[in-house]
Amino acid sequence: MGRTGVAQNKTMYYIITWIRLFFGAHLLFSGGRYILTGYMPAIPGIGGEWADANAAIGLYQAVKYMEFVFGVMLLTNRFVLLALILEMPATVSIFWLNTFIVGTPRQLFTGPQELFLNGVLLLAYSGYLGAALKPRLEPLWLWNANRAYKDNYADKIRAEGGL
Amino acid sequence: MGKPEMHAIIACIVLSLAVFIGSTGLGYAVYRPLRYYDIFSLVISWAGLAFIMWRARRAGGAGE
Repeated sequence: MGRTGVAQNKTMYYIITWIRLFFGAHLLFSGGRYILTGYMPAIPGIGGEWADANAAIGLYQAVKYMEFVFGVMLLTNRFVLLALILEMPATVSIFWLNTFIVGTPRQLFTGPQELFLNGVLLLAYSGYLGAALKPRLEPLWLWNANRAYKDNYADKIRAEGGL
Repeated sequence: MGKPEMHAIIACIVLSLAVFIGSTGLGYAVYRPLRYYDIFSLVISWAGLAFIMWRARRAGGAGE
């Protein structure tokens, strides 16, 4: 983390930093606990059957390893926006499962909490992404991203041709 | 400590209380102990915030 300037709103900067560290630690613990101990919480009802089915096809394990990596990324402040985007599908699954399917008292909190943490952080870091959200974009390979680091890049690339 | 730091700390205390109340059910459901999961996240987030505030104070600014 380089000290390269002063945040425009110090209070919000610190609050977002706290949430980033909280969510990072949250993901690191969740993934790390599974990796180290194989722990799977006992989930009642159809939600538990769904989690067991995910474990049977290897998806549960993949999510836990991803959580561990994303937790490290958030805690070390590296590729934070990428981690938040990639974590969002798991977050939505957890939110839906905990809030509407499992619905036990703690899960009624942890479901919305997961969506709040990931959602607020995604909003806080999406100013960069907003610059890429244009109504008309030509295809542009990831490795040609330098062509988008220009003013009015969408129109220019459309005029020059995409990819 | 300046005003922005104080406001941020108050907001983070509110967030921590929300985590505590939501996770334990304090005052609205049968009480359940706070999980290590939550304790770990709270300790890391507060320690990290304290470090970042201390570092910004030394450097005479905040943020990046």
